[in-house]
Amino acid sequence: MDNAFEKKLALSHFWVAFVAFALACLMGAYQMLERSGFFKVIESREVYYASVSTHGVLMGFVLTTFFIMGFSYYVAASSLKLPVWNKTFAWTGFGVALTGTVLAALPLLGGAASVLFTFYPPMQAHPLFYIGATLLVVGSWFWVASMIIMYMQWKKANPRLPVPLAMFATTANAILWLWTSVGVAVEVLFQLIPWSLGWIDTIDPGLARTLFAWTLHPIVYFWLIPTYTAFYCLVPKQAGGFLFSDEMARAAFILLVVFSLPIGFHHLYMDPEQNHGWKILHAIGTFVVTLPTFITGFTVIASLEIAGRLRGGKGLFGWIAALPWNNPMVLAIILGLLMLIFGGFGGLVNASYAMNAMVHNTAWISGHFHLIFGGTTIIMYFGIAYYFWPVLTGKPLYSNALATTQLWTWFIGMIIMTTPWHILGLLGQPRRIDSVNYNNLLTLSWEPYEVTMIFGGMILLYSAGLLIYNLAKTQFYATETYSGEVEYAEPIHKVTDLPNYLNSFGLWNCVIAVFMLIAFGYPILQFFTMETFGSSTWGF
Amino acid sequence: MKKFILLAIFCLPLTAAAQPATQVAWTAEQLNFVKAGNPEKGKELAQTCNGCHGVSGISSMPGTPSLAGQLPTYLYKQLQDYINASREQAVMSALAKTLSKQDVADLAAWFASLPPAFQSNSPMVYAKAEKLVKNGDNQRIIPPCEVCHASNGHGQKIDIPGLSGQNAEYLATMLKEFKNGGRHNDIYSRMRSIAETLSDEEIAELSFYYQSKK
Repeated sequence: MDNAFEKKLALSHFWVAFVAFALACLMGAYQMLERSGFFKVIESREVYYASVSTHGVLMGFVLTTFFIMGFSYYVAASSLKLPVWNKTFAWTGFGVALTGTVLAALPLLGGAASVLFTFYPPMQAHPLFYIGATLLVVGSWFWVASMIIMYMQWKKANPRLPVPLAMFATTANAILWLWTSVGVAVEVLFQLIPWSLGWIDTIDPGLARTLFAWTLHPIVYFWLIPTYTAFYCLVPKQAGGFLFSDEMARAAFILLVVFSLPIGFHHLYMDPEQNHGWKILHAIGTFVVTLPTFITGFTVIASLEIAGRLRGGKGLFGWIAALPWNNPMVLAIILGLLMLIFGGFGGLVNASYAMNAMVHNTAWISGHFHLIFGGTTIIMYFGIAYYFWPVLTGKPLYSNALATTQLWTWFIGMIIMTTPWHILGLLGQPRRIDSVNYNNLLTLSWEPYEVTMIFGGMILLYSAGLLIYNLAKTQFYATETYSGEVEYAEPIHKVTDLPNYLNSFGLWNCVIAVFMLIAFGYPILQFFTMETFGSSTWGF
Repeated sequence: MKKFILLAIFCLPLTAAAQPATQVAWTAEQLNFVKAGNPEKGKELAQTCNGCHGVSGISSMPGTPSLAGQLPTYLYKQLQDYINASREQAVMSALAKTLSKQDVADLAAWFASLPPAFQSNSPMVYAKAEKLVKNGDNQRIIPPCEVCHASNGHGQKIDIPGLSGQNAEYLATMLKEFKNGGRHNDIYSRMRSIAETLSDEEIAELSFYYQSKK
């Protein structure tokens, strides 16, 4: 099996993802310069908000969805040793998602969808934006179906055998995404599209925000699972060792899927439409979801230690120095874990009901988000890209040195940009503002941080350029050939027999259904039963 | 009893302050009503208006506003405010009271459908005005004008009026009226609280700035 079709499919998805990424990086750099107030010539509220909205959509929805789909198709084919199920179906999903992206881009670039990449009425975008976003999600559902079908095909052919861990994680992500996308899909289909088309006159923002909160938290785990898949299934092999525990990895993925869903209300801590009791319930759930991250931190570091010691590392920390730091994937995980430590600390602040009040809607949130998503999650996407590119293109990576330079500059740029961003939040700078000049004394204290952020952002822009250059050079200019395949890490203790609950999702889907009913049942139902004034629930 | 009378006297200003700035509330029904205004009917009714506001809704009388291209919601609210005495001006108050609610919506639809006024690009630079429009003034807690009236000065929903191309004398008169409380149909005193901090020189500059903006 040469996987030629799968390689083409994965590469097509990856290129859409990275082109979106490159455009979004340019916009990010512009936004930072515009917002700082140092460059009067580029100041424009309209352009700024159109740019922020497009930047967010490209990074948060296009880069992630396409990258995850491409990555998963190839992981499924290579780990199960099965061809991708129904080629036309897979390309149709790609086409629908791409059409959605283009449709949404039109109003975004024209300034008619400057709603800051969220779905929060009463901010209203052009209907094309909502329709495009829906198509992007619908396209991704084709991928969900493909993954679940391939998983079932393999299970049927190999009853009682453990599903390869990489595919177990990928299927977990597909199931997570299906559950996750229901909230925003219901909001967009029943509220935002009819409202933006003028079919209904009123809308209930409380219900809309609750439905969006359903999606808003687990979506970040949808983005994160490929990163964790690489942590568990690819990195230990690249580092020259073994996975510390296959069972622990499965438990972490299951916990991630189950507990990332019923906890979205930490986005609504400062909102009036939900009662404190529900918020506290979700707050507790938010702390539970840190558990799989701690398991991951432990297992992955243990796996790296095994590798370091096998490579001759001695003493308490000698194994760290013995790791292959020049391997892009190993370097990406080391830098990613460092950012996870900082970002995770910030996340605990956000998750805490009381402390959240101090940082809610301040620049702290944007700083946190960039560090944990743009940092930990995305740097591993780069690591994956450097590892997959030679496999997919059949050509060796243009430059390993350039790849490690890129990862280092991304890490350094991200730290330089996000540290002052967090501080600005603590100094009272609101998030989502196009100008920081409305109070002399306060903004004077912000200026040094703004300058530092620009410096960090420019390093990030340079780093993004290096990534695209290296990938393009590899694919389009290399003359040598490469015939390697993706190699998955073996667990130190081979898994031959697994209890059914660690090898299937039936039970967990039932658990999720119960949790979602508890966490979102009444909070959604109340909008249909309570007396409201002036705004009807679905517009009737 | 004395205490009661005293209490009643002290509460009197409260009842005065409790008068709303306008009787128009933007419910979905109200918005749909304005949206459904018939411009053709409005055109017929506008015969009465043409003398002062111009045949194409562009006024050549300095103190009289041009109405062409204005937001229909703004025009509807102003006429309703004249009818309800939330806004007062001898001629307009008398004329508005002859109109039905439907007439008001039709007139609003007609004037909103006309191409807006534009006088000429001015070579003058209105630095003070431009600073207020783009940055406001944090010392006086004035937000930038363009935050509400939009950076092109075309206004925005629901009923923030467009100012670009409007004649300067009318704009200056209105800002002064807001400043001295003569005009008081702005919800939450939004314009009154801004205008009361503006100097006459700033009012004049702002008026010319918007008149020369396309």
